[in-house]
Amino acid sequence: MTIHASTVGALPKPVAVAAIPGLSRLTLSNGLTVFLLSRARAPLVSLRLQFSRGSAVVPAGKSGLADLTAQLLRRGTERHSAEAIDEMLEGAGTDLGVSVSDDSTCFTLTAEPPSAPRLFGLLGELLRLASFPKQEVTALRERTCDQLKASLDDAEWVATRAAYRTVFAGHPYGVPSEGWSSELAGLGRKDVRAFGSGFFGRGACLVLAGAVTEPLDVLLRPFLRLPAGPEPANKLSVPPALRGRHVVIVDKPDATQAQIRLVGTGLRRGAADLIPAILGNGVLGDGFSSRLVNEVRVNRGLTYGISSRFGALEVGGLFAVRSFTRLDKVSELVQVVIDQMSLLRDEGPSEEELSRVRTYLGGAYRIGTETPEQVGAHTADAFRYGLGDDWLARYPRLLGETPREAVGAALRAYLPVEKLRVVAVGPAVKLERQLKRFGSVEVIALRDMA
Amino acid sequence: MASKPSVAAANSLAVALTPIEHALPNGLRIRLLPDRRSQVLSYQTFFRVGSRDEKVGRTGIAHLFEHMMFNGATRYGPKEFDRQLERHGGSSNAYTSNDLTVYHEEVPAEALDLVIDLESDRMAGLRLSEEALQSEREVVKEERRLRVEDSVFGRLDEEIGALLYQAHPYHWPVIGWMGDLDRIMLDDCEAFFASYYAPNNATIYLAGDFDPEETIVKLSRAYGGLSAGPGTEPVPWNEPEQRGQRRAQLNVPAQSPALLLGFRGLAADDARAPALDLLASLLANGDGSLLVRELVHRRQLCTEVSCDHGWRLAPGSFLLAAELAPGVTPKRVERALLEQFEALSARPVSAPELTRAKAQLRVGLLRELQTAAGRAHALGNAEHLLGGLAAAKGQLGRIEAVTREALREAAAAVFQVERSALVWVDP
Repeated sequence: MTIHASTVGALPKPVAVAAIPGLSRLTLSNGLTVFLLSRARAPLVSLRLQFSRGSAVVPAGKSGLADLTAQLLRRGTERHSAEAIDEMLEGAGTDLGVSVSDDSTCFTLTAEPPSAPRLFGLLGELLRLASFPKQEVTALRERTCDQLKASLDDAEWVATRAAYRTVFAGHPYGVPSEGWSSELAGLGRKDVRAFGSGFFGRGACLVLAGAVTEPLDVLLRPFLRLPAGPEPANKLSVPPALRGRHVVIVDKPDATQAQIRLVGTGLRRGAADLIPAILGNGVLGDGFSSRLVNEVRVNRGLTYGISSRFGALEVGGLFAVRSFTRLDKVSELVQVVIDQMSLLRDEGPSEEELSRVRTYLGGAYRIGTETPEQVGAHTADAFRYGLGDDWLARYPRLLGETPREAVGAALRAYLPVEKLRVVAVGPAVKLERQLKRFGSVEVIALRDMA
Repeated sequence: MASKPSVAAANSLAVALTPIEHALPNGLRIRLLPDRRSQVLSYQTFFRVGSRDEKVGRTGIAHLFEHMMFNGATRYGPKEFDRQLERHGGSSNAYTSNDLTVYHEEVPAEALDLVIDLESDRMAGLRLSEEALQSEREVVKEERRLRVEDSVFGRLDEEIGALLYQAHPYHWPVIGWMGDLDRIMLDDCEAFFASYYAPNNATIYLAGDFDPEETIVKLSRAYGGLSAGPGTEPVPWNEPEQRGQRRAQLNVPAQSPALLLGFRGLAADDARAPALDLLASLLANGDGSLLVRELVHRRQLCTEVSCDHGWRLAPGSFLLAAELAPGVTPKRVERALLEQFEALSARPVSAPELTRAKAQLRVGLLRELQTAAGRAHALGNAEHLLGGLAAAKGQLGRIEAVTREALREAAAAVFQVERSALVWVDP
């Protein structure tokens, strides 16, 4: 791992981000972008260190490697054992959050201010000096494989995995971050060390938010030694387009209800049409007064929960309707959803519906950016996708200003009514008959989803 | 290295959990936590009713009724509650527990008047219909299939509740037995509303950006005309003494072996209860906790261990859940768990271990209090279950006061094999 030679010098002066009260930005000598948010709601300081690469860059056949590597950072360094690291973190009343998505890898810490320098120093040490002890690699790999198998009991989890695999077949976005157990089982310390070398340094941003009461140079010192240099260009290809309708059933013979996903390709994160599509989706399935909740839950009592969304990633996206119902009502639910999608695509939303969605999403955004941690997460996300430092201020404005015509056009273009994948998890013997009218049927064994 | 409680933490908690108190002549209690820095507010209505207030044959009515509360009232008809809220940038939800039913709305600050109007409307005159009951009954059945029928731990949890409690209503699940859901009639719902949804059985918690004086005037105007209800009957603690461990193996499909070990704990307002909060953290909060370190990392018997100890009005349950590694028998994990409990009962934990658990609870509470919803709920939950506002405000002090010996005594009192229950699956 290359270590940047910089020593702690005077930090550059943070520059205020004019659109966001309390937010400022600086760049460290090694290129690390730092955001500071001086907005405390409690005597707590939060750190979010987000790297711009995630599980999608893992080599083919080695799924789960990014997640395994990130989780293993805390299982020992050249200076501290795993148990000593646990003691340092938990003794301060906190823990290290580790999350790996397709496009990013993120570490989070929230602590009382006096503990922050010590804990941030520890995180810096994990990133630079993780030793990946062989017995820890083996133990975590085995445990993860066992957990993946146990998770087959969770039909919601299975349905989500199957949905991504179906929509992004052959593309890295179709591979779950936790990996497929058949591939995970073949990973060893050599893989982890090779992957970890240089991975946790480039193209990152760090957000410090809340009660930043300790000296800034002390808090940031551990991160000055992360490797310098620009993020390598993302070489991911665009996911292929889908054609026609198709049904995928994951056979879970013992289930008393079916988990259902209606999925298709969506939009990438930077797409100009994403906001209009999000607004249109709000009418369809975001919120308790959306059309899907009204038709499927309230009017017909078919389910406890239904929602839809456009999930956007770097080079592609997913449209998904998520629901579940009892086994004899599956085709009815699927038909109602398709009918509602068709109706909305063909006729567009009413002004009254759109007005509701604008204020609902705007309010949800305000409520969802109440804490420094939440603002930090949105700031890091905007940085990752190049949306601009003022994104937090622009997003609610865009919700209000996007014209109804643009929403209608986005729904016509991106609501994948004719290119749907219907994914169902339940007893194949009861589902196949009901679902074959929606397209060609493929049945997958449950064990293949681990 | 363990951290000590900071003055800042204590001050922050004291401010966050000290409300402006008010009560209306009809018995409605009001708790206000204004914070003008916030741009949002959380409005939470706590009703002192839960599954403990149900009768045999009508289990699940408290939760089913919670669903019925969203189906229209006098001024706002069916579907209007959420439509109006969302049109003003807000959202709502609710939950039912063994002891309480809580309705909450999170909204931009300017929607306060609407929320008061919506909530007071349904407390004044809920519109109950056969059609809505039938629809919500089916919705709840789907919820039950999701959370219980098709969930290994859902089934284990239901079974261990039935074993730990034989006479008290904690015996049945909050969502109710599937067969009972079909027995709940419209008459039952009407009687339930009249008994439990009166203003003298409710408390409103409001946190966030609002003017407290103006808000009290608005609340008085909206709710002041409602009549007090007849009052509710106390639920006696009638559980007989347990004289031996209760065990059950469930024959349900599962990929891996799993178990739940449970002890009947203490009421949340028991002076020894904070020790149980600390024990839960000590046992299974984080990789360095006793059980995770020992059973997951060192001995690799389990892939996951967790602890559930929620506050309850009557003696609640202290549950340990374990997902077992392949080839490991439930018997072996049971022995390993009991060794840990015996050790905790026999000798005090180390000072750093206790300090660590206290720090975890303190930081957890501080994090919860960062949002308006977190503050409103933390206060409401603590006032109802810990025994009043003073106890709610003093909850951090209760935790900090626990000594190593008090922890050992609480462990010895609760972790007794003959007063435990064990349920497992072993495919």
